[in-house]
Amino acid sequence: MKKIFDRIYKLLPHVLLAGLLVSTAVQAQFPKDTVGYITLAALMLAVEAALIIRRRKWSAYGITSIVYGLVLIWSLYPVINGRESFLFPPPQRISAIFVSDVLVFVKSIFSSLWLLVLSFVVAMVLGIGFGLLCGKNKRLQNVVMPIARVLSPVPALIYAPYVVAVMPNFTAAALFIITSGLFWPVLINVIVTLQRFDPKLKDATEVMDLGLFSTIAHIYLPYCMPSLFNTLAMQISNAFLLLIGAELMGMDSGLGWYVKYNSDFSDYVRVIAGFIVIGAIIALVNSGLERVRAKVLLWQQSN
Amino acid sequence: MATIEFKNVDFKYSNNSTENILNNVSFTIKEGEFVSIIGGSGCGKSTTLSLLSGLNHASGGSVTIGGKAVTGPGKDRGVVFQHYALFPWMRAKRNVEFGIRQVLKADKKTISEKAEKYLKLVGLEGSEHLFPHQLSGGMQQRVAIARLLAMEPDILLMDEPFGAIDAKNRVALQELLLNLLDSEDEKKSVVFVTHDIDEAILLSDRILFMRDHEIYRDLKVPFERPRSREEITASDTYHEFRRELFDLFYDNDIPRQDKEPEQQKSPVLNFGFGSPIGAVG
Repeated sequence: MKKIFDRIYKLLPHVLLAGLLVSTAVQAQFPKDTVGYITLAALMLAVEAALIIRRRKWSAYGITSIVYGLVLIWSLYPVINGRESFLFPPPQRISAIFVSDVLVFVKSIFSSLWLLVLSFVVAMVLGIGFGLLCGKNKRLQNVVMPIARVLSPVPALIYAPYVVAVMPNFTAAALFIITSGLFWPVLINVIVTLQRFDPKLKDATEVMDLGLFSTIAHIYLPYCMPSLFNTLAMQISNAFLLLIGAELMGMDSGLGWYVKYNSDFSDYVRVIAGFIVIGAIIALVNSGLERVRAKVLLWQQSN
Repeated sequence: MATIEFKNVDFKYSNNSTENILNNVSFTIKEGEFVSIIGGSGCGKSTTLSLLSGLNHASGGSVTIGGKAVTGPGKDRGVVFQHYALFPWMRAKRNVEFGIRQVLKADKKTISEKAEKYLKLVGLEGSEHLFPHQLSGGMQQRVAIARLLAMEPDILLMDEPFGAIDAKNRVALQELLLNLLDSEDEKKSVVFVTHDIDEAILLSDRILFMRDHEIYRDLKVPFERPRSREEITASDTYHEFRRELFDLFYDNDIPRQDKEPEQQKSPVLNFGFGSPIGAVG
């Protein structure tokens, strides 16, 4: 019984893929949808290639089945609905946008990532640096923590209109908003982690009579890394939210701008294409972060 | 190197506290002397060591090294704790190198070679690249000892360093420490806190026995150095001296009527020997 289930489980993604390719081919209006159909097929075959590469992983079959299954249902929607929906365009129509708008996407991705990386770096440097200093200095900590607890819960986007008015341009305003949204969680995380500093390590550090720089760089910073990575993983989505929010305020490029701009024209084919690209970028950034985490935290028992 | 002196030292955790953790403690440790502090749990052994390491400060009296008051931790003293206080994000060798770097300004190669030398001394050749979580308790403590020795402090402070290690490894580490210290050209002062009578006799020149937050007895260990476990444990002197310490531990030196009823009931539970070699029947 288990063997039969296993066979069906491993066969399912291939069957769904075949169904998906046939369903979209039947519904596509050639030659209008040729580019879209080929792009969709190429994307799905890339997923298939990934499955073949990871064929030893049991979960890979389930994941690809879900991906194919969702796209298949999506492609069947016009059949169920009786006609093509304006708000729910078929997948081959959306995949065509990946080709036609490729340059806009590249430009938007660079524009968004530049904003994101810059604010991320500034927030990290300030948050970690200040957090480590506060961790070492109890008095400073007592001054900073109450302020942080008041300011940090205010969503950064709330003061966006004011920041736009104060800052010289939209880029500076966006940078400020994303940075401040990331700064507080990082700062509080570092301070709270250091407040719970392992007493055994505290003794070991103290008896070594280390200087301030050594204590911060070689003891406090690595000690904070595990919880910092957990915070970062959670804050990545928050950072994208802030980024898109900031771009909606008046930037003229970026992924948030792309979605907003096209939704103003009710161009939902592009809006959905924009969603998919944003999702893919977040997934890529998350997986990059995960790789860095695995390298930096090699010393942890769980790794 | 310098003489360690405790003069009428009192210690309590806060000014409001009425209970003294240390009460009028006075002793002197000469340069190059190995002194063990033994006694039941809560008698103040580890507190005495913490005052010497600079982690705590005396509430009264004075703690001096070479005539200078101890005001905090210093590079003249190195400490090994019962818990394996290695930095978990540093590999074994890096832990030792980090220690060396705090006391020696030298190029990478010199520091690396020194770290390797001390890791080899403690029998950890080949494990340099492992993280602490990949090492057993005994191996972690070896790294801590290697780091301590590599930092070459004048005074070694060891707070039950083998307390959490299994009996077999404990014996191996005791031998290792004995051999390392005997082989050093310049003898280091060592203050060693332990629960284990045999360990104290094997390693020390003197034993300070603490009871009720005070130094109760100051005993000279009647064996010359270098020592071997086999030779000294075979002698009658060893057994007599061990019995004396054993009686101190179990309050057998106090006349029966002076004892508190609780201590009479279950003396064995009043302190814990760390290993079978410490437990005497």
